Amino acid sequence: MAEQTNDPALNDDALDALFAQARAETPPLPDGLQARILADAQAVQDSAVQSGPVRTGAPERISLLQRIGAAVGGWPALGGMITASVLGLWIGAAPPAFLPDAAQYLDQTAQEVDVFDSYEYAVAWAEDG
Amino acid sequence: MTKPAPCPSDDALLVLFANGDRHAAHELTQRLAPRAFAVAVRVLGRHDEAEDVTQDAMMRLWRMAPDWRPGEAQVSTWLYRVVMNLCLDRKRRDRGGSVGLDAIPEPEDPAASVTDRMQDEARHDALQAGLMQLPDRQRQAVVLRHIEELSNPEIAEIMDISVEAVESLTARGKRALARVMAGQREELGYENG
Repeated sequence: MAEQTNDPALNDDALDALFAQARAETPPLPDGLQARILADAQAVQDSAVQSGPVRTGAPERISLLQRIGAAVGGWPALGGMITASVLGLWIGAAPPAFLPDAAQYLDQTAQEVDVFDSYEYAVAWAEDG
Repeated sequence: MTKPAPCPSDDALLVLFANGDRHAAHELTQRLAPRAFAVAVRVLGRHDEAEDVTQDAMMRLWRMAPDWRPGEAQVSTWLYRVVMNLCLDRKRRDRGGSVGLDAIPEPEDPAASVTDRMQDEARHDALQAGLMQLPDRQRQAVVLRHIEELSNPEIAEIMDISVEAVESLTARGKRALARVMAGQREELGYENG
């Protein structure tokens, strides 16, 4: 026999019984709702096919070289930069005849140059103003 | 003797869907839509609005599929969250941003329930009427905890609140529900307490 109580509220057992009944009475999907949901799904799939390949959900991995290539404008730009760098190095190491050889300046030290190598020249220059 | 093929997870089905598998859409709909609809009915109290919310939530699932990262969350939890947010949006829109007494449905007439329906149906209607008298967030928490039987951490993720807040909402919601349904004790067959 259930215990008599003066508490005006429904007790926990009664509420739990109502919840259990509600769980058992899952309402069926209304007519046509499943068909509409599937039509939406097909429309989304069709538009995805038109707009290109679909990702699989796995995170995309991009290497450092790919990131650098993308930053400078892709592989064509990166190829141009590499060619220019190699050409510059080659010209520096073995310059053509019409260019000064940078290597000969490597051991050059400061030299004192006496512009006014004679007293007479200095006086004449001063007088000319 | 060959083993039956294992049932693919919701995660796997969503990836298959994103890759154009039609059957995956059918399987996901059968798995997820009935629960989404049931929760929406409980929270909104109206079948027509629950139907719209379910279709809208499933549409968002289809659109999100290509960006889904398997293993990071449960598809069902994600869908519950979308359903709850859509329900809240509708409630706010219906109220025009404020809580009005007119927006709260009257409980079913107990006399009519007893005379016109089976007792089970009376209990069902009484529970729904009682739920509709709770504040929105309390109603959501009570439905998710006591009818959907989700764990508190899951509900916290769905409602974007702390586990402690879920415990508080469900406890207060259940107490409030017990009070508002007290007047229908006899009609529900709980004369003795």
